[in-house]
Amino acid sequence: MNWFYSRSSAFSDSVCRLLKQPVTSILHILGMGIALSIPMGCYMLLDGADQFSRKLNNTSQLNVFIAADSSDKTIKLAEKQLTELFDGEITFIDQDDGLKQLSKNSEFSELVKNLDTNPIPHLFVLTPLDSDAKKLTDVAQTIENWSFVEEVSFDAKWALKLESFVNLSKILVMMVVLLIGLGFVASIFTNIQLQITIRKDEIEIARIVGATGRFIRRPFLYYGFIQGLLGGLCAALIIFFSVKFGLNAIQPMLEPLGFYIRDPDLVTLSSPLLFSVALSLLGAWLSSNNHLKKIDY
Amino acid sequence: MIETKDLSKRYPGGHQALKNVSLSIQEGEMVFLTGHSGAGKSTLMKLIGGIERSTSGSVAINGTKLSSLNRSALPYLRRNFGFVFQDHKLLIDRSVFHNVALPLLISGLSKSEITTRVRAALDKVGLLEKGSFNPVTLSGGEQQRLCIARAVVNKPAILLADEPTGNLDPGYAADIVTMFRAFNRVGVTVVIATHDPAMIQGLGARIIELKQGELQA
Repeated sequence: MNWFYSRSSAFSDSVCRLLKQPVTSILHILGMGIALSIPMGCYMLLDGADQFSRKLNNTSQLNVFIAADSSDKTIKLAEKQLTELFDGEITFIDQDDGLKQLSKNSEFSELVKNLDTNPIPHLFVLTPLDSDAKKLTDVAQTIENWSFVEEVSFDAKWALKLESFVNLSKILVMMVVLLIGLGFVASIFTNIQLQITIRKDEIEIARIVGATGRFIRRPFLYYGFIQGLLGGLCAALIIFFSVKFGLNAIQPMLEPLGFYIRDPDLVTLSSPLLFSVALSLLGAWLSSNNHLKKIDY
Repeated sequence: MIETKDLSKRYPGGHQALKNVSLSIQEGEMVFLTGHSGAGKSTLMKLIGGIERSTSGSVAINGTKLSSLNRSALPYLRRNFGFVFQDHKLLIDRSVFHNVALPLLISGLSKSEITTRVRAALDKVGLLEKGSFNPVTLSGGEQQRLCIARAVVNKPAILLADEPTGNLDPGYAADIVTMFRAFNRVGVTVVIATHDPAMIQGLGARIIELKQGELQA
């Protein structure tokens, strides 16, 4: 009970101090919320882009063209080597089937009739089980080096580029998060230093009448905690309403492309909250500790 | 109870506030520290109370050398002292009640215990009716009495008062001295730093004189 009274007094004192300067407190909390919501929002957009690139990779195929004049033996050798190398579905379309499919197309039907020989190459269509674009690129490069292969077309090359772009952007977002984190700690540090300066006399008196470092530090930690909590809450609300009412408005335009932005779940919304609280506590602890080291021996 | 040995204090910048001060104050004794401004009275009080660290020499309270205590133990030692200052050092953003309650809150007492003891301390100094007042609305004498209430609320073994009547008119000053005398009668060791000769007269207490940081025979 005594334990609770001592802490609740410090907590209510910290709340009162925030309420005494409502405009400053609101602006500071809003600043924290906006600063946090930017990288979180970017991360959600990237998550959507990531899902999009994965989908593209899932539908990607490798087309392996074998020269039209290749013998049956060569085609069998190609099939054997592809089966050994490739993990997925392999479909063979020989040049006659290829020509038939081409003649079905009204634009080419007349042209096909006038051909003396069949110039269409044999085709192996490789559909992967694993959608890893990097792995598919490696497979395509290996096949391209085989002597009997005329050409390899890989329709997911640009999806690979998109995936690389998404990965790079994720790293950039992480760097932004790191920088914002540092800025956060610095901002709370300065803010608590200001509070310490305002309460310098109180700290001195408390120290004289026997306050421990923990007792002196406590209201500043609570002050940082409350600010961090409210800042994180503000960020979570900005993300929630931006996605709910802002991005969802353009979702119909993105849907045909297979680009979806997921509604923020509890984990997504609680992460800025935890991030903000942890960094605010760190900033408050560093700041109050720094002061205590200066005044006590 | 209080023992100093070759106690010296030099502040950054070179000012020598105390030079080899050795003295002993017994339990339950009332002692006046006298001397002109700058004689080192306040410095000696701060060193005895563990608020500042000496440059050399030692201070022992009940046989425990302050220099042997680590940083985390010092606050607990300070709870054995009651401090009264000339400038009162009151928190002007808190009520009279909350000013007096601070040492008890620090000691971790329950709310009901704090209320009882704060009321008793305020009653002792005649401020019971002004518990909800802001300290700035009190007169100089009342502010000093409030400072005394805060000093004694934790029932300290030693009361250290630094120029407690410095800014008060003779009437208020006499009240304050009477109060200290009463605390001393119930066993509290009282050390009062003053340069006011009128305060010392007729009390029969031991007088320790400091001159330019040195103890006078």
